[in-house]
Amino acid sequence: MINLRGVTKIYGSGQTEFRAVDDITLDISDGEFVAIVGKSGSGKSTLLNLIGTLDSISVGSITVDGEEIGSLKGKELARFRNQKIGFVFQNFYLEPEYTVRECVEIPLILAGSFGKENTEKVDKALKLVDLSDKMKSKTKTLSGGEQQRVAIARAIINDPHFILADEPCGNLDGKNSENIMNIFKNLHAQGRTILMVTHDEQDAHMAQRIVTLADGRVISDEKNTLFY
Amino acid sequence: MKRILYFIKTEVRLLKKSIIIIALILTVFLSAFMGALSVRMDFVNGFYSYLDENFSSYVIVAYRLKTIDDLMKISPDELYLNNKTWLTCAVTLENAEGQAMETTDISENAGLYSDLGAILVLNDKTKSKLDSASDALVSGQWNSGERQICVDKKVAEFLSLAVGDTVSIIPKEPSAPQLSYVVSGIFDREPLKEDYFFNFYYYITESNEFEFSNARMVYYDARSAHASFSKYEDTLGSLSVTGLKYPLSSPITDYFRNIMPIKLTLDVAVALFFAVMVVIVYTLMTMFYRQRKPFICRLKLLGAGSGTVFGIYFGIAVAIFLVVTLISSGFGVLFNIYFMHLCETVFELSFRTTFSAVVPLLSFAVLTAFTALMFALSGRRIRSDIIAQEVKAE
Ligand SMILES: Nc1ncnc2c1ncn2[C@@H]1O[C@H](COP(=O)(O)OP(=O)(O)OP(=O)(O)O)[C@@H](O)[C@H]1O
Ligand SMILES: [Mg+2]
Repeated sequence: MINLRGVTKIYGSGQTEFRAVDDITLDISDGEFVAIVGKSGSGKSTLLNLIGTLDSISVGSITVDGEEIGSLKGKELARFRNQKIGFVFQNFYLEPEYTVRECVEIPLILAGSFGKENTEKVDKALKLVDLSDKMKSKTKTLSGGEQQRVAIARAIINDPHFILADEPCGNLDGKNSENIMNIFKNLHAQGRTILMVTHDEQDAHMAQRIVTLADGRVISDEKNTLFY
Repeated sequence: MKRILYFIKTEVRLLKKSIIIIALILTVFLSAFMGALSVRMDFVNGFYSYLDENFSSYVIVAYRLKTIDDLMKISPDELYLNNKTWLTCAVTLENAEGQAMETTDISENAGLYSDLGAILVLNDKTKSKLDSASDALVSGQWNSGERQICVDKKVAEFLSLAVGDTVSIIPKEPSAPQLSYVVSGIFDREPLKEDYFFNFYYYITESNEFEFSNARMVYYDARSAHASFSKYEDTLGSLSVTGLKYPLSSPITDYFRNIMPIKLTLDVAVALFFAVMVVIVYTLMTMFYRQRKPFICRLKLLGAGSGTVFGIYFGIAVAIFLVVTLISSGFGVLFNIYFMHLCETVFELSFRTTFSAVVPLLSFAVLTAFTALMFALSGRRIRSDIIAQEVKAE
């Protein structure tokens, strides 16, 4: 469960004060696949970052599985990011000099896991995103679609409850987008909760529920009737 | 710990070039710092011991003695005010025929010294010791009464003295009374244990080189003199005021002229190298941290705590410092040896080259502590909102 209560993010102060996210109250149940849409600058990324503890909340509160994330600090915060959330970004955000295997293994290492156990998990995750044959390549040598699949493998390696994806297909062409969306569908089918920011209507309609933002506020929140 | 080591390994692999460059630059300056500092230490220590050995016997006119009895009144405590206090005293010894010799020193046990041997004047301290040393007597007895004296056999030979003869002790002060002593015994120094004769501070001089107007004791306080080089100069100055000319022709006065600027230069160099080192470490390490900021952000995003991030970069820094300190210590020693060789050839000052482990340990500790502080501070700055910005920036 993710519960947002009056969540507001204010940038700047006084004259330059700007509410990127303005008083959003939202509940996301376990196993939901939610698409967040809206015009550029409507606060989609900001909202996702707030949920993912990548930015600090100005007003309001967010609880994830009953845990108030605004009060997480130090080791708790690190554990939360490591165990509860898998991040996927538009620009992949990988280690360019790492091999695919090393890159996907990082969250496991940070969780304090080493050795054969990791190898098995990495193999499994890479198989899921169909990258088993690129295991030893450096991530910078991969295509955009492949890089995004590495990012997804990395996001799911610790088996998190929630996947936060910010325009995962924003830098990909139609074929690759479809590929990625299919992976998300599979992950959803396996019971994961997915929050995906997108400006692509087609992608949005892959989700169960579509939340539309404008000027930092929710202007519509509806079930996707086309969801199959 | 294991995860920190894992990332240290991967980071070192990726940052090989930067690390080598940092290490090289640090090696240059740390070598210079350690070289200058160890030269400074050896130089100053060497100079002090040089002064202690060669200079101490002459300095400061502390007492003006009119009679040998005045001399006797000085307690050993007064004479040994500090751990290194020496005295010299000069009187003239004359036999009945008017034949004379000079003494040069006085010591704790109230013996007079000449370049020929000791002349023992009784005091309570010597008496108890000498009573048990009869095998050293060549003839007569140890002096036991007023106005008795024992002389070394070489002194006796020089002044043609036999037991029962009278000898005059003439202070250099013309107005001071002369005293007559009867020779009660003649002794051979050899069988006597060293401690009967104190530490044998024989500052043997040619008798006629002393231009004392009267008997003077020379007093040198090593501790206060070590407080500064200028103390030595003051000492020399006070000697010339009292008319004691002997040490003024000493080559040490010439060394002062060279030593002061050398010491000052070394002090400035040490301070400068150290300051430059700190600036360099600061610059390189912040560059290092900045260069890896995207990686650090990604690592934090994936669940690395601040402790892990700190551990990785601090670990790398410590490894660099360790290697650099070892190499620089080597260069420092070489530089030290070379510099001391220069001292010997240019200034004719020879100092022992030592290398104190304190120097590398201290510089390693300082660099490490400084970097720890720096990394702790910059680590705190990479907070959550920075990660969001970094994600947007990429
Ligand atoms: N660090 C910041 N300081 C000031 N304003 C910011 C900051 N980050 C975001 N904003 C502003 O907040 C608003 C929302 O930004 P956000 O990135 O959430 O938009 P978005 O909906 O993700 O847009 P896009 O579809 O273009 O990615 C924008 O107007 C942006 O300029
Ligand atoms: Mg965005």
